[in-house]
Amino acid sequence: MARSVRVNLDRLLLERRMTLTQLSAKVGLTLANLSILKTGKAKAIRFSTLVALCEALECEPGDLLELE
Amino acid sequence: MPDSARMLTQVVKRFLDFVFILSIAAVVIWPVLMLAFWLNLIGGVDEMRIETYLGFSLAQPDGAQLLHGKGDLDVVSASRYAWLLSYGTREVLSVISLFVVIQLRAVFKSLSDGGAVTAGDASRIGKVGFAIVAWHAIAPCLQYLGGRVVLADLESNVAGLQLHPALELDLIGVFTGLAVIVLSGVLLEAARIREEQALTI
Repeated sequence: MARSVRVNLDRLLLERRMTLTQLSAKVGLTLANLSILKTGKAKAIRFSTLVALCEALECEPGDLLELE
Repeated sequence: MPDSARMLTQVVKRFLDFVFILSIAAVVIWPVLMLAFWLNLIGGVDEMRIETYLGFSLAQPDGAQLLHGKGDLDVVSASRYAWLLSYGTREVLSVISLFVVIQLRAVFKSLSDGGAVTAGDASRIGKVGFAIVAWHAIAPCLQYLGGRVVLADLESNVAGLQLHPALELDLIGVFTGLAVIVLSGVLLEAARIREEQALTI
């Protein structure tokens, strides 16, 4: 069966006590794009976006992305 | 999309809307007229001139060929089969035309709404390509068949004039259809890449 990458944005936002709107303002991504990431509809993520998210959420890429 | 291209898209879309109405009328009205003529409600089959694609040659009294060629000729024939085949051919080609117009209309509507070419548009363009190939494959067969049926009924009383069934195979038309099919595959791939790009965060 084909494996996929899960984006653990929900869990990290909960742990950091941050809303999607706050993250959007910090990272510079639109709510629509963050929503696409959060719902697992994204096809790919740029390294620059990944770096910005990890810095905003103070985490490692492995915390944000998980192979399932 | 640049303004000039957007304007041109609008113009083509309106033209296709007009052609769509004409095509619908042709597909619907033609069979009704055929039935009316067949039942002698409006004139009769015997009074109809049948347009048929035929080859012809004219010889001089000494037997030397004076001229030859092929083209659409109006033939007076009492053959109901020839009449039915001739006008039935037009109906078949009208249906293919209507199919093409419907596909192109959908593509241009999508483009005039400001969107980029989608996978659905690419698929429709592919169908247009298949229709072009089908047209250029079917039309010559119907031309030849129609000619044979008409000539079977026709008695030529002009000395030196010979008529024979003919067909015109447009290879450029066939390859144009094939090229459109290939291009639709390219557009499909482009639409897929665009969708992937849109969902790249």
